Amino acid sequence: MRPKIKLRVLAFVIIAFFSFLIFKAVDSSLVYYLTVNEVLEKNRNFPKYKQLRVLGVVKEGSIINNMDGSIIFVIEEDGSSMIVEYKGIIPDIFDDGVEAVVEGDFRGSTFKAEKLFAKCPTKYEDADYEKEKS
Amino acid sequence: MINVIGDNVIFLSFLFIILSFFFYTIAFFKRSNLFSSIGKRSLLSVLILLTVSIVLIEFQLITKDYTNLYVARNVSNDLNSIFSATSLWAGQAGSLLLWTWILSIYIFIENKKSLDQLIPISKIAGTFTLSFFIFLITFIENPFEINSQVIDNGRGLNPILQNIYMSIHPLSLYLGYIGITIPFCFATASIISKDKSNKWIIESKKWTYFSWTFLSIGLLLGSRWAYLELGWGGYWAWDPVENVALMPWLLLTAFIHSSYAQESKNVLRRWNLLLIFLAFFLTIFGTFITRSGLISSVHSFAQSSIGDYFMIFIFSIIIFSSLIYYKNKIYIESDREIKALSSKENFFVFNNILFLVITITVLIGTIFPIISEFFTGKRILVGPSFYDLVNFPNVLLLILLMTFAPFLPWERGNIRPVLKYLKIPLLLSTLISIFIFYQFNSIKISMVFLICLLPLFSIIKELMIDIKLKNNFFKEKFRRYCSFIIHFGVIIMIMGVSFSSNFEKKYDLTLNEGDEVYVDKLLLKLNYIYDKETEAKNILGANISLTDQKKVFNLFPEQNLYKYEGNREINRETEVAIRSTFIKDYYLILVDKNFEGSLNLKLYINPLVSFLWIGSLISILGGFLLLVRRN
Repeated sequence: MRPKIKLRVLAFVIIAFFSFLIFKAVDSSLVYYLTVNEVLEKNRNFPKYKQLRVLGVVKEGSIINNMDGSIIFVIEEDGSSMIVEYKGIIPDIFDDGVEAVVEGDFRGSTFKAEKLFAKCPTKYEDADYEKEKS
Repeated sequence: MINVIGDNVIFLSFLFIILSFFFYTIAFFKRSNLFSSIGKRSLLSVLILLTVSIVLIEFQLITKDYTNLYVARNVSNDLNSIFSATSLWAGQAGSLLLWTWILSIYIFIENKKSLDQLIPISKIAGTFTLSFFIFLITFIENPFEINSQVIDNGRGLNPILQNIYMSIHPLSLYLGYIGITIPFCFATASIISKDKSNKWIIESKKWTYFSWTFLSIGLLLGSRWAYLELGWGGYWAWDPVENVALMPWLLLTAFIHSSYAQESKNVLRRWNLLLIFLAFFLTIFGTFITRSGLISSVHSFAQSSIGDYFMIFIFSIIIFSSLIYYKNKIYIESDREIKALSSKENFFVFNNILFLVITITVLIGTIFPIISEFFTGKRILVGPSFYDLVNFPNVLLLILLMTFAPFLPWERGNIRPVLKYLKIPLLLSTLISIFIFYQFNSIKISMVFLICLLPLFSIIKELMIDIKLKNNFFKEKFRRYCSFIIHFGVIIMIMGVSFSSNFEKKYDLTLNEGDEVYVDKLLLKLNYIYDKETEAKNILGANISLTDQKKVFNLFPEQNLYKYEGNREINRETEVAIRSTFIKDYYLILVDKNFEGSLNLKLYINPLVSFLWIGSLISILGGFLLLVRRN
């Protein structure tokens, strides 16, 4: 019987350790995921140090390339919009009218993005087609 | 015309699979060979019909028959025949058809086995699963749907997906994913038939090796592709779609270890059943997650109604599995229990716990937005640091287990002889990690090296002893050596991953034609900028020479702009220029051109990335060797 008890105690310790680690990791890596409208509504409710991830559509003709390689653009949703500043790798599919996800935080009224994702590659179906269907 | 034929062929296959399921069920209750052979014939018909429909749709794809809606939406005139053919799995309906076809092949192969207790029920489970998928392609996502418009060019394949890695990657993942169905069927059969032997484990063995190997290849190709393309954060980004592919792989790895314990020592029986159920569940769940649009990912798959059907299927599996589990509970318990703490089987238990913890971590991270929205109303997700923080100590513990477990005996173990055996490997790896510490000044990395090198050297030591004693290990210890090869590869891979993620260097540069710049002892010169035009695209490129300690080489990063857009939103593609050496990769990206003609560039120096690819390939080789091994 003894080895079985030892085994259980050890297993319990390991699981407890990792549960603790998971909780800590969740706490330190939280990112709020919102759309442009939600961000503008609730902007002040988020703790300052937490990262935000915002989804919106890149406004036509809003992309400006700066000399230092950074870009500024506007993402919008149903009329409301926000200015985003970003320096880093620009995904291939990033362009006017694409759904983009930016991750970072607000510096004043400008959203300073550390990461930029554009929705796609495995774009299985065409967005318009899906709308027609439904 | 072909559309109508294809549509009918698929409908016929649906009828036959229902027949097959029906007759197998009767055959089981009546114990009749006649009904069973009718079931078998029907299943053969299903296989033939599905093969015909695959041939038909491939013909349509290659000849670009745009009367088929699927063809119109996935290929275009400028696409070559190979990518046209592989477009079968570029869209939803085609992927499902392929999935169904592969599953029917697998079930048919297993079907040929002789009749004993286990096989009849696994056939029922198999044909039931197959019915679900054929139902989907017949009524929900039909690949032979007719295009109502007349068009002379299709929408085409996304340029980023026109890549040889990307065209094999899904196929390989499917081969692996679907393979898990067969062990699941055997497990079900073993419970229902109250069979206490290890027959189902032995029958499943080849299939788990097979699935494991192909899932590994699929994951490797996927990350290789991500590395060569841009904006994906290297080779792994903990994206939900990547995660759902990884979870079944993790559970399968756990299962391979614990089923070995059951095969050898008849322990962990209940645990193994649970693991294979979970693995199968996660396979279906993964498909559901990516297709239902429940979780937003950078890969946006179609959000279609098939998610609902997957949900129903998942629930029926859960209810059915728990039902048969509780009904036959007394037959499931192992007769034997684990006797000693430092025994091989006990180390397998810990291996399994750790793998399960990784799987749960990945699962939590993946569905975190759903959970948080449910409880707080806000969508909150966890970043990559979540996974890194939890998985880093976990993987190190796993490698520690990997060091000792192969040298521990079954049942009554004693760790002391193993420690004695590991003395020289330990000494060597300590010396090297001290050297590493002085070289890189990082405790984290030298610890990784210490823990990783120990099992490496212990494997080498056993090999050397065997060679010295002229043991004929190719015959006698083949399986053991296969596992060593896999372990060896995994360790190399982990060293590559931890090194490259900790010591990656990144530089932003803006250069004019003729500019020379020193970057960290590296001389970079922009020789010239060029514009090229081909039939399909406009290319902006640069010829840049890099000088690293007298070695000079030229890199050509490019930006492609595709002319024919079709209905695609994407027409830009970045060609990363990579110079890979054994020690480090020079990874150069042309971001864009400024108004006055200078170029914005990004240079990454990624150390030891080659270890990641080499290690993975070694592991996959080990998997193949296990597969071809004769029993």
